[in-house]
Amino acid sequence: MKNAANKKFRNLFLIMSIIGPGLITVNAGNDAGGIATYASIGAKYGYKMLWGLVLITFSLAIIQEMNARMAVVTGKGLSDLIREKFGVKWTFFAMFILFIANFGVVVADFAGVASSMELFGVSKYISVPIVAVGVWLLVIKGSYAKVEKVFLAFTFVFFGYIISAFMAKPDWGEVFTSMATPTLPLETGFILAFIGMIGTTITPYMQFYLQSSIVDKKMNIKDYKYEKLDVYLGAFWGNAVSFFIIVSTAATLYKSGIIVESASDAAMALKPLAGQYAFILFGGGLFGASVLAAAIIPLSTSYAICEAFGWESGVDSSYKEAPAFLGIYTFIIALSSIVVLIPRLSLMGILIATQQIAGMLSPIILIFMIILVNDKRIMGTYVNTKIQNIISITTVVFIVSLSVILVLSSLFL
Amino acid sequence: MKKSNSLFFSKILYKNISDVTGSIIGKLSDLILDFSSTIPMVKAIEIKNGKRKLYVSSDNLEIHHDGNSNYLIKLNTKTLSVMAISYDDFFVARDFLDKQIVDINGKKVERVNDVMIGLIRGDWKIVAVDIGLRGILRRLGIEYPAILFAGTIKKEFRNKLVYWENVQPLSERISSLQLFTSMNRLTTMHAADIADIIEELDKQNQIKIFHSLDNEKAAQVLEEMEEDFQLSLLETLPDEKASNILEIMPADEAADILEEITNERAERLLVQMESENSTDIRELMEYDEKTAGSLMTKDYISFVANMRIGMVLEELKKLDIKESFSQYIYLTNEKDIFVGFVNLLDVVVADPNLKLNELASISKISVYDENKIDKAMDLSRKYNLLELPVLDENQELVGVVSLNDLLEEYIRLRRSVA
Repeated sequence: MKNAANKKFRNLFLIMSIIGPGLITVNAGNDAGGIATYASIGAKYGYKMLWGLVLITFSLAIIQEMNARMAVVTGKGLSDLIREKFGVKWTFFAMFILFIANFGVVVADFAGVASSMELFGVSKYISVPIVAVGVWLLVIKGSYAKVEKVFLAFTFVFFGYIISAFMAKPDWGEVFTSMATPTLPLETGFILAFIGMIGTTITPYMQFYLQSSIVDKKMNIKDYKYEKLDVYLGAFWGNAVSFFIIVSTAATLYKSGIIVESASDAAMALKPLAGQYAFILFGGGLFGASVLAAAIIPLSTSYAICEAFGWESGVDSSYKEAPAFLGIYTFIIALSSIVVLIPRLSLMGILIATQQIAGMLSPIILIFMIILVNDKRIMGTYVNTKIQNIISITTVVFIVSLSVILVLSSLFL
Repeated sequence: MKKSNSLFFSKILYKNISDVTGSIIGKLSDLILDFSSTIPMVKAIEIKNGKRKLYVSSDNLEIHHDGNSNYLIKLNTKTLSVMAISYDDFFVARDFLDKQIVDINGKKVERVNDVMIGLIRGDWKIVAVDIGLRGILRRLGIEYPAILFAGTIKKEFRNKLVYWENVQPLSERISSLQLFTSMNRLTTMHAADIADIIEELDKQNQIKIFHSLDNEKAAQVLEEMEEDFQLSLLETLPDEKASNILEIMPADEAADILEEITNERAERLLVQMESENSTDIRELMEYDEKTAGSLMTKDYISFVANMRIGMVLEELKKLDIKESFSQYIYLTNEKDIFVGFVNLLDVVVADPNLKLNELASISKISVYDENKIDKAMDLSRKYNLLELPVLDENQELVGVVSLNDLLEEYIRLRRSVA
């Protein structure tokens, strides 16, 4: 009897320990760039893009499941697999793309630090250098893990959008119709915003980060069903938050014709919930999310690149042991914070443009992934099913076509 | 044009290959190895012509270069001998390049950036593996520009080669059979180094390497690993082998591991052991985690206290000496009650006619099995002891605990609190 209870407890413990990477990855994906993108989409286009968000939620779930499956079957990170399958030249290309996309996202996160602190009247020339040095020190000195949860806690603020969305009393009929009726006006602004939404939802860094964190769990294939649950839950829950950000901004800002030009505009969507405290709430959440991502993304980029080229890595190594690892890490933080400090730069502009770059680059990493996950030598019987291939390939084709349309329309219109 | 006797594989990979008349027959797209000798030999080359693949013997393969690293690859024979190559053969580009190896000398897992081949007594063989940055630059086709650039900032790019005798390949294509026989160079390494390397690898390679070790080595390696690796590897072993390995390990380590797995499996593994060993382990599993008893080992030498030293020395020679024995000899009376302990050196140099308990240097320091680790640490520090006898409530000697194990546990506990 005692044994049976013990076993049940063990199983529960096992499930609890497996659930996590998926949820954390997608929630970390709702960083400064994400909030800004969703808020501006809601404010500018109302509910018109909701159908797209619904569709890319499925794409995201399928793509992240592919990462989880590769992690559990091969026990290797995504850069490891790319290097072993495609050789040095292609790996160099993939890492270059990853670096550019991630660099953009880190710039966005420092822009997030700057604009959140501006809500509290702190100039970016003070907040950005302090946070950059602070994050760098925390990670290098190994005390980052202790404070990570504090910043993670900050981001719970964004769940406030869910309540806010209901309190703003949107026209739910219209919300549901928009979710089911795809509209794609062929105008540059709309398509760019759409690419930005994809870029911030299916960010390239998430694929590398998720796969590595699942590899670290040393999971057995028989426990894979729990991990699958985790990534699906993560994808749907993370995008549910994005959904309500769009709904609440559409119900408040779009209705009053306000376009999001700064963080304080985006904060106004929280007014139905928090009234005059909306700015404090939004500022705190944006700050936490930005710091969290500004620490994680440079780190995961360095790990991915060093893993691909077989260089020594690890935060507890000295500069002499791991020059490339610490060099890349330091370079990303230093240069991206400097970019944000350029005078008269629109922070909101940076936040959104970087997500659009990530969106245009994301299909490249996805193509590498689709080839890998369909390779029988690597995956054995765990290659993609037909349905998984249809959804992932359609996603790639869709994003590529959007980018092509964008280029063509800017050339000819 | 000069004949090449050694070169990097990347210099000829995907380059045109011509026949004896000089007309191009395709691109050299891979080399297939024969592992039957100590240094793997190239037995065939894969030639790609459009979509067609052709496997021919490498017997008449000649490589020339013009000093400017332009290579001319030629099959100097009138008749190409086509070879039957199977999917299970070992391909250099497909199965080795860009994969991981263990550098036995450097004790590290490295990635293969390039491969050096050499013409040895008429055969092309694998000479060394390039694991350095220069190999990556060469593959990217920017080796010489990079060297020129580095020269301007007074830096030098050297090749980082690992010679074949120090290479342990890890590719999935190396079947366990090959790993078991000629290729298993890992067994020459120290158990602690093997443990570090296994911890760095992906799961499939972890399992493959661990399973290729004999029980003795596997026990040593397992002992050196972090707990989560111990558990995940143990899970992959069949009961019989797992039980044999745990039996070889010091009882306290085995007990630690068995406490962490399901009761059903622990019981199955214990039942398969010799009863003497399983009783020891069961006893240790009873102790609370932070007590001296949980860390003690049964590997110690004890004699009845009134034995003559000459007799003791005779008995010592008959012992099956274990690595874990320390420099102390423990003394008990006929009823196993603890009397004291004495340094082995004092025994060796003493008058053989004396009895053990007549030695002047007998120490009576001890801890109880239920004492906390901190207490044992304090005692061993205060009296400069490498090992402490552990007594139960009846003053019986039940085991000894070493400073080494105490320290390891102490550090582990501190870390898990932090």
